[in-house]
Amino acid sequence: MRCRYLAIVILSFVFRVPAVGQSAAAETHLGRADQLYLSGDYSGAREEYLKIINSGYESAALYYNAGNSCYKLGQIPSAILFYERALLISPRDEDIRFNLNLANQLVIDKINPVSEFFVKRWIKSLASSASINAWAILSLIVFIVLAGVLVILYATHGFKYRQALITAGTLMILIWITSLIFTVMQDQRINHGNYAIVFAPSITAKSSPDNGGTDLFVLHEGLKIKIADQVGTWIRIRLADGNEAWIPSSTVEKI
Amino acid sequence: MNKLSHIALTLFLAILAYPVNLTAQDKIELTVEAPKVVTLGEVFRLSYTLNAKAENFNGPKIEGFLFNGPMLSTSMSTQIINGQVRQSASYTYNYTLQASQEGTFTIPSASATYKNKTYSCNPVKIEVLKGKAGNQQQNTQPSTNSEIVSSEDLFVRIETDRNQVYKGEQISVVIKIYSRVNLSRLGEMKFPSYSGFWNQEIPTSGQVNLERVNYNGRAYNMGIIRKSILVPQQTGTIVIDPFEIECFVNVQSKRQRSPFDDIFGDSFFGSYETVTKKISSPKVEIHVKPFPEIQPEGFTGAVGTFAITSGLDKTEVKTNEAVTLKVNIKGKGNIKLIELPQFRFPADMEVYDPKIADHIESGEGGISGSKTFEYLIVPRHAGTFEIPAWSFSYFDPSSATYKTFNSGPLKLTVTKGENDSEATVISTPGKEDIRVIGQDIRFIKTGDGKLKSTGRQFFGSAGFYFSYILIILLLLFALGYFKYQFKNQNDIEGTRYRKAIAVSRKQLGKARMFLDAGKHEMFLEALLKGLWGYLSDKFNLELSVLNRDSVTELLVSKGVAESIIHDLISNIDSAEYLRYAPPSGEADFRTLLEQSENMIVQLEKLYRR
Repeated sequence: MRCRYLAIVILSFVFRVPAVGQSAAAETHLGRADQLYLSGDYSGAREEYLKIINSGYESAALYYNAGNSCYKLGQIPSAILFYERALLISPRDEDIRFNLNLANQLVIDKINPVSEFFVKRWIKSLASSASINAWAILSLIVFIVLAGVLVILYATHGFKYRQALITAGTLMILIWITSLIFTVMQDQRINHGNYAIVFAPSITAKSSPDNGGTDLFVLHEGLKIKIADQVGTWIRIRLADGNEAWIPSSTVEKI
Repeated sequence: MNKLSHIALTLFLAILAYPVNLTAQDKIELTVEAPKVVTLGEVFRLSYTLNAKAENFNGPKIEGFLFNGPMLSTSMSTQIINGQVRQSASYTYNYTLQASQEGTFTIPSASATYKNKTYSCNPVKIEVLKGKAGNQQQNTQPSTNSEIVSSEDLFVRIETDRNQVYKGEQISVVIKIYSRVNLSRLGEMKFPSYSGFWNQEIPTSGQVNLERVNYNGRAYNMGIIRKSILVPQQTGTIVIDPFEIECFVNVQSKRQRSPFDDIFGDSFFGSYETVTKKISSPKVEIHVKPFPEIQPEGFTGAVGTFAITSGLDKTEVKTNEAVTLKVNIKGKGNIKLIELPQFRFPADMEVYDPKIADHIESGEGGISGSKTFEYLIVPRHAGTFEIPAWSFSYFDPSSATYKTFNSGPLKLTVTKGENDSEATVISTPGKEDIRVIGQDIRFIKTGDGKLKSTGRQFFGSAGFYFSYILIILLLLFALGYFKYQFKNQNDIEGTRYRKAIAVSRKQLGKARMFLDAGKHEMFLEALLKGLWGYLSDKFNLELSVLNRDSVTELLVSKGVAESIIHDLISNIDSAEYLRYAPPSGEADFRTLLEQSENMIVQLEKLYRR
């Protein structure tokens, strides 16, 4: 009896679920927002989506829909920001990628990204093929099985499939390590990616974090940049082509 | 003059010797010429001209004028162009009239008969005004201060047909010169720039012909210098700059008049001189009103009155046959500025750039004409197509309303051409790329709202680490448990193994005691127990599975020397034998005991930990 209580406590601790009532309220908001979008009232739909986001909820579809309504209103930087946020949650969603691509075509700046080594690209895409939680849970499950195998190997001496079990265990260690690495990679990408979207219609990037710095290049709204460093109200940005410069942090919005 | 006409006549007669093609003569007409406005007492000429010799001329009944005539004068001309001889003659009947009273008089029509046909002309209206003494009758009463040309006697005006217009509405503008002086010629002119207007000049002969008109109750010689059509391009009040002109006027010279002047008149003795006078017109203001605010769809700034037709030349065609969509806009207004109609053609049709033809005339009444747009359409696929309705709106200034023309949807039925299908099947597989007409973002994701609280993530959460720690703890616990189990088991075996020699010695000691006491059966039992027990403890085997064969097998597999195994087995055999054999000598038992003890020592040596 005590064991069962303990299990429930642990489980509820591990998989904390949001309060049901609150979630239902957010979902009615979502339905209304979708309805507004359908009727062509994009600014109304945008308000509703933002309300849900501000009340502390997120999902790829929610960000995607908010991005769509921003796009329809011609707010391209906001649309790109929402699409990027949606992509963080589900990186392989075709619709999000399509719309993001379309929105990016309206961005003035054209930057040729430095091409990545193909192995790195494969690993990244493999890591992105599942969500961070999926990788984390997979690593946990593999670890549990691995522990079981270890116990079996330890407890029995004359077991018939001992060799097969050892092979399986080795493989499982590899899977466990891989899934753990992917989890960390995903965590880095999502929580420590430090990407941002330029919101100012036009900004001049400087060589140093003050207004007296040499003008290096001009950026326009909607561009995706990486924040490399921050000094006061200035951030050092890195473009996809490897260029670096300083711009005021107020001109961008973090993804 | 008379001499000249004689010469002409002689020449004419000489040419007449030729056979002359008289049928090439122009249409016969009787025309009348007279000033429209005259001043009281003025002597003027009324002339009727017929371009053939009339058999009979019936002059008009002239009333209200003193007159003299008719006098006939003749003129002939002959043209030879490329061997074609053309001859024309005109017979003019001249009347000399003098206005004797004020008012408007009508001279009825005159008629002439030529080749039994009667030709008549229109009646003439002549207005007689009160003349200003002096100027018109210079011969009799020359003015004393004629060198001053007053602005009343010579001026220019810019006359417009209206001053309140809508933007884009046409205004007819005429620049006129009014004169009551002896104008010798016109000099340099500076035309207004007409800024704010679109300006279209109406072509004229280039010569300024003076005409008698009544202006403010006075007779003036009026000449039209230029006619233009203006179309205002902006709203508000637009000012037309003054028109400036330099005039050369003949005035009587200041020198002392000779007595001959009175007798012969001025012109004969050159007592006139030419003075230059620069005059400019007053400014003209045009008030341009904007269009009414609510503009209909399809309004692009066309102003005027238009008639529009549009349509397809065929409504049923075969594939790859050309169809023409023709739009014709005809009327009066700024037709040049009409834009290309924007039809939304079905995407599956090939539409060529439209052919635009305009025919625009600018005349007295303004700019009018027509503009035609022709679209050549080639449907490439069979089916029923509909070209959506196109509407054209224009502003009609006369009613101050917008008018809209709607073409209505145009239907076109395309059937498959006869030779078309086979040819295409052979030449191409009939597949086409889908043409992308527009691009838009994909639709939102509805339903299935798996909302999740922001920032909630399993990885890195307490739950994640807790789970790992839990699993590791469980693993350690399991491993620890099993280790304890193994240790226990190993302990039992190890004790037996280590204590095997001691147990067997004890047993053999017991056996020795039994032997000393002469209890042979007990001795043998203890001896065997000691031997078997030793083997059982040493090799961790149950006593029940021990027999000669299994022991031999075990020892062989453990690599024990053949002799030792043999001694051991023979020892056991002898002990078993002695157990059931009749009693024998004490020495046999002693040997058996000693051999068994040796046996165990030897084995122990081999298996010492």
